[in-house]
Formats: sequence, structure tokens, C-alpha cells
Amino acid sequence: MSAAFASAGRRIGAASLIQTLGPVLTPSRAAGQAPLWQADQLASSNGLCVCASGFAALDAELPGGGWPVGGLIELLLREAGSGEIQLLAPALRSLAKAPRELVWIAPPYPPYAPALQALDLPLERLLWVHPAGEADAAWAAEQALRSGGTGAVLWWSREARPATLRRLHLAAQEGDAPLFALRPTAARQQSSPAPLRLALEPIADSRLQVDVFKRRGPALTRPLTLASVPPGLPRRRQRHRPTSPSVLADVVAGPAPALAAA
Amino acid sequence: MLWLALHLPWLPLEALPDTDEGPRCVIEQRRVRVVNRMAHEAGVEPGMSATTAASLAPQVRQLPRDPSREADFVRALALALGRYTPRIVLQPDGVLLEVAASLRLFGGIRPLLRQAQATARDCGAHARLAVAPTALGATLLACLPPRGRLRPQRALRLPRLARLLDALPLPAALDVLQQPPRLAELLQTLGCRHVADVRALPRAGLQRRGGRELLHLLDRAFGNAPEPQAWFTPPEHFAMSLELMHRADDAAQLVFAAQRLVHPLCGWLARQWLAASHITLRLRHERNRRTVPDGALCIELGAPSREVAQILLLLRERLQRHALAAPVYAIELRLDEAVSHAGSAGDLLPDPSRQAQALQALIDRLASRLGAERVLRLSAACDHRPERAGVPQPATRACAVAATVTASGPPPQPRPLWLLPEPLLLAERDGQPVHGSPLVLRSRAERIETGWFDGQLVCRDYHVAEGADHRLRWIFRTRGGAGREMAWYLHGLFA
Repeated sequence: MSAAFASAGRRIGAASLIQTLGPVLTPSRAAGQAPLWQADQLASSNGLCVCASGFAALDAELPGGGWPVGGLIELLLREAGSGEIQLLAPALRSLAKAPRELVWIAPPYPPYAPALQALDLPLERLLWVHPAGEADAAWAAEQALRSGGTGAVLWWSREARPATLRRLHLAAQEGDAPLFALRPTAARQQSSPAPLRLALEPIADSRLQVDVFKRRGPALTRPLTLASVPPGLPRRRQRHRPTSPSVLADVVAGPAPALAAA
Repeated sequence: MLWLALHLPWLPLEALPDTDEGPRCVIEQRRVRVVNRMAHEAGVEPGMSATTAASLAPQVRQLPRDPSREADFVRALALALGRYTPRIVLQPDGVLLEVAASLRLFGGIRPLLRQAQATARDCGAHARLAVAPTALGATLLACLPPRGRLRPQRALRLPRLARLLDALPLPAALDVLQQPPRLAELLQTLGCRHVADVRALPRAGLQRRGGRELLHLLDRAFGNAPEPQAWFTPPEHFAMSLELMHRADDAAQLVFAAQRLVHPLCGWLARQWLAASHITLRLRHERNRRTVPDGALCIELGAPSREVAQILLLLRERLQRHALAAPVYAIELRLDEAVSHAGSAGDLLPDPSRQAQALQALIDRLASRLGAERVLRLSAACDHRPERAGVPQPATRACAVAATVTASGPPPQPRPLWLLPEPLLLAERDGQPVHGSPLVLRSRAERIETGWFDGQLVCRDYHVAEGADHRLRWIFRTRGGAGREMAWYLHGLFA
């Protein structure tokens, strides 16, 4: 009990006290998911449907236990090809099942049909839009979200303005499809209306390091590590390496995660 | 029978293409026929002689009346109103709709009146509406609204219609019924001020004194005599042109004008149970020394539609992308292809077919603004050459492709999600390929050697390679041979 309150020392206010009681009641679960927190959140801001991400470790850290359906989700990448589609593929598979459309807007390179087949993503449900400029891409994303026939929209953007993001976030909330905005890592320093922001980084041994640096809940203390092996590629045999804490330690050392609930 | 009458009091003004701002009036037989608000404020009244009006307010532009344009205008309005009922009668200054069978579909008489008014407004007409069980009764009520009343007069049954008609002022009613002025004088000297007074007169006497036609018309208006009608038949093919108010230098200016053509088109389609699948907007350019051929915008609808909003949206997107070759003075909308379409029934539960329609509408919208070549679907082809294994197709006509896709299963070998359009030649350091950092091979070679049959020979050994940033790349080495050198290329990125 005292440990829980000690960790609560960083916070202020009665609402956060309820949050911190979460781990006390169910110590095995993340603070963002504890029963008391849910009762408060599901009714107000958090009453959203989720779609399981397909990674149990990630689901445990996402509010509600999956990707929120109906809202803006930001994925920050250093460069294209950082394992972003590996991460999204299980969710996209289930979102396309309805049957609904997956709209990919302005991807950095042409998507390659055989790779999509290998990921078990239905080609006939995928619409690839490559507009001429940023403004057209944002327009296309908004149209796709408002059309009502889409399961998910993936939108690659180099320089999105906060006003555009807010507008698209609203469109995604009104429609019932998630909007995944894939943006460069530099956007991490900018403010964003997205309730969920993640940074992806591939690390050794075909693993993907995911840092959930903004979510409705307490900040993540250290990034998650997920296995991501492209289909067809044999998994590399584990080499003897220093154990994970030191590996993680040098990755974690970045900008300190801001207060996530803000 | 229930009749909805639309009377267009400003038809002579509205039908003229030149409706720019400013005081204007329409002249017929040297007399002012219709004035707009600004001319009215300048003191010009209908009925004045043209010379009086000119001396009173020289700034008021006097325009001659053009009956042929008026007829075209009324016909366009009748086409647009075809969505409410197939039984339409054209009148010189208005349209009559028989709506008894349409009430339920459009949610009752009030919503129907509201929608008909909105359609007329979108067609550029300010209409006065009235509803009555007889056609002539509805016309009289629409032409002679009580002073200050803006809402349409409604009489759903004969007794109420009789009450409303009886109260109409006499000289004006005789004017609407086109009776000779001599008869009006006669009735005035007899002390008749309202229609009710005429009806109270002895029939036989009035008939002898030249009121035979008036009595017959009143019988028709009150529902005591049959009213045969000449129904309006729409043209077999739809093509309609519109002269612009101003010369348009910018395509975006045409959107508003196009709206006046889209409404008749959709009314025409609704009446025929059709939906447009291909329409052309023709732009007539101004004739000057340098003659420019007419421009044409072809619009294909993946999901055939007769919704005004949908067609207008596609037109707007196309027009905004279009650069005019020369100023436009007229536009013409032509329906090239239509399919039969029974309309959608409203239902309670979400319908998967509606979702498919929404998707098709989305594809149309995206393609009309971005261009069809920028909205694509992917399909897999049975070819070992990576460049040919994925084939993008414009989504607007990719329906047939989808079926063939699933035939070929996923490849057993790793394939990158992002395939570079052109392989990128990599530098080499100590025999190792370099892309940002030296690449370490992660897989054994996959040899692809094919294409000898069509002259596009490919001899490559593909590997998956990992750089210092741990991103996986798909690289290949061309195989040495006669006249070929060995080199590393980057061909794709795993994502």
C-alpha cells in the first residue's frame, strides 16, 4: 500500500489517487486498466471500442486493451521500414474482416502485393491512394474517415500541422474507424491532439521496440519489446548477448516521457 | 387529386441569363412587366410605360421579354420537379404537380412543400406555392396570396378551397383567369368585389352577358367541372445547356451554374428510374478572333447515382482541377450513359450493400479530385520477377481484378512490403554492400532467373540484409556473366 502511495507522490489531485489505487487492487495489471480507473474512464472520455493489437504485451499497456477504434493514433518512425506494418498487421486483419476497407494514403513507397499476401492482408480490401501533396493527402484521409465504409485509415505524413491533426482526429471520432498517422520522429516534440502516441524503433534480433509515450493513463516506465519477424524469414537463433536490462537501458535513455495523461 | 401549383411571379427576370446585380425591369409591349427589388425602390412599378420608367429612373436597365427563354426555364424546373411526381403540367408562368400519390413517400404535405420550394430555389426560381384539390384552384391560390403571407396556402379538401377562393379579390382573379377587361368593368359596376359575389349572381343572366367562360372556369376551380390536362412528357435523352450570367474565367465559378443543370438531370433520372453512370459537362468558350474548341469534362460514376449532392460533388472536384482554355459563356450537361436503378429503401438495420455503395462513392470522390491514376488497388500476378508480381490498377475499374488475386497464394520466400520503383545501386565496402551502414546478410540467396521468354531477362540473387539501424532490406546481386558485372542493389524495405 505504501509503495503505491509513494509512486503517487508525483501526482496531484483526488482523481489520480484513484488511478494509483488501481495497482493496489490488481497488482498484476497495468495502472491504466485497473477496475476503479475503468469505471471512471469508460463512462466519460474512454468509452471507446478497441481492436486488439495482436501483441499481448502491447494490449496490456494500451488503454482499454487495444487500439482505440475511432480516433487518431500516432506512430512515429525514424524511417520507412521500421516494422510499422508488422505491428499493425494483426489489427488490420481483423478490421478488414467486417468486410471493410483499409485505406492507405501517401505511403512512402508503393506497397508490394506479395508481401501483403504473406501478411494475410486481403488485397481486394486495400485501397492505395497516393496524392500529389500533403494537403490532398489530408483531404483524402478526411474523406475516407467520413465515408463510413472504411475499417482503418493509414496516413503517412511528413509535416502535418496541429490544426490538420485535430480536424482528422475529430473525423476519426465521428466515423468509427481508427486513423493511424505515421509521422517522422521529429514530431515527438510537437504537441498533438492524438490521445495515443507511440514511437517505433527496430532493434537487434528482429525485435521492435515500442515506446507508448502518450496515452490516457500513467506514463510507461520503459519501452516494450515485441518480436517482429517478417513472414518467410527464419527467426535468427538467439545469440548470447548481455541480458535485456542493459540493452534496454541504452535505448530508454532518450527524452524523459512527459506526463502522459496531459 | 391534389395539386401543387408553383407560380413564378418573377419568371421574365429569372429566365434572362443576364441577372447581374443592379436595378432592372422587363419590358413587354412598351410597358413594364416585372421589376426587381432595386428597381422597385427606384420607383418603377409594373404596368408603367417604358418611357415613364426611363424618365423616372434612368439607371434602371430595361430588358425586353424573351418568351422562348421563359419556356425553357419552366421546362427545366418541371424536369427538376420530376422527382416528386410523374404527373406534371406546364403553365406559361409556373408548373402544376399532381401530388396525391406522393404525399406518403415525401412525409406529408409540409415536407413536400418545403422540398419543392428548395428545388425551385436551387433552379434559380422564386416560386409561390399553393395546394388545392383542383388544378385551377391551386393556380389561383398560388397567384393571389393574401397580403403579407409568405407560407404556401393549403386547402386539402373542397369546402376549404371554396372558402379560400370565395375570398379572392375580383379584378386580380379575373386577370389570372385572363378574362376581358370589359367583363371586369361590368362586374365592378354590379358591385362585385370578391369571387363569392360573382357566384351569388344568377347564372343565366351572367352567361348571357358574356360571362360564359368565366363561369366555366370557376366551375373547374371549385371542382364542379372536369379539368382535362395536357401532361408534360420529358425528353427521351437528357441534354441541357445554360447561358452563364457572367463570362466565367475560372472553372470554380461554373460550379454554381452547374447546379442549375444537375437538378433537372436528377429529376429526369428519378422519373425514369435511372441512375447516371457517365455524364459530360461541355464548356462553350467565347467566340473571338482566336476560336477555341469546346472543352468537355467527362465524369464516370463508379456507383451510378441520381443524388444531386453526389453528382454535384464530383462535378465540383473536377471543375476545381480544370484549367479553362478560354473564358466560358455557356455550359451544357449531357447524360451519356445511365443504368436502371430502383432507388434504395430506407431500413432500420445497417446494410452491407450500403457500405459497398459508400465505398464506391468514396472512390469516385477521391478519383475525381486526385485523378483516377492516384487511387489504386493492388493485385498479385504470377510472375517471379518482383517488379511484375504486384500490379496496381485504378480502383475505379478494378472490380474484376479482385477475383483473380486470391488464386496465387503468398510466396514462401520473404518479400518486402515497400518495393522501390527502381532498384538502387549500392556502394560496396570490403565486399560488403553499404546502405547507410554496412549490411549483414540475414538469409541465404534466393535465385530469380527468368524472363528469357520476353526479352526482359533477370538474373539475380536476393538476400535479406540488416543494417546497423536494424531495419531489414531486400537486396540483390546481379550475377556476372557475358558482358554483365556483379553489383549490389537495394530493391525493397521490410516494414
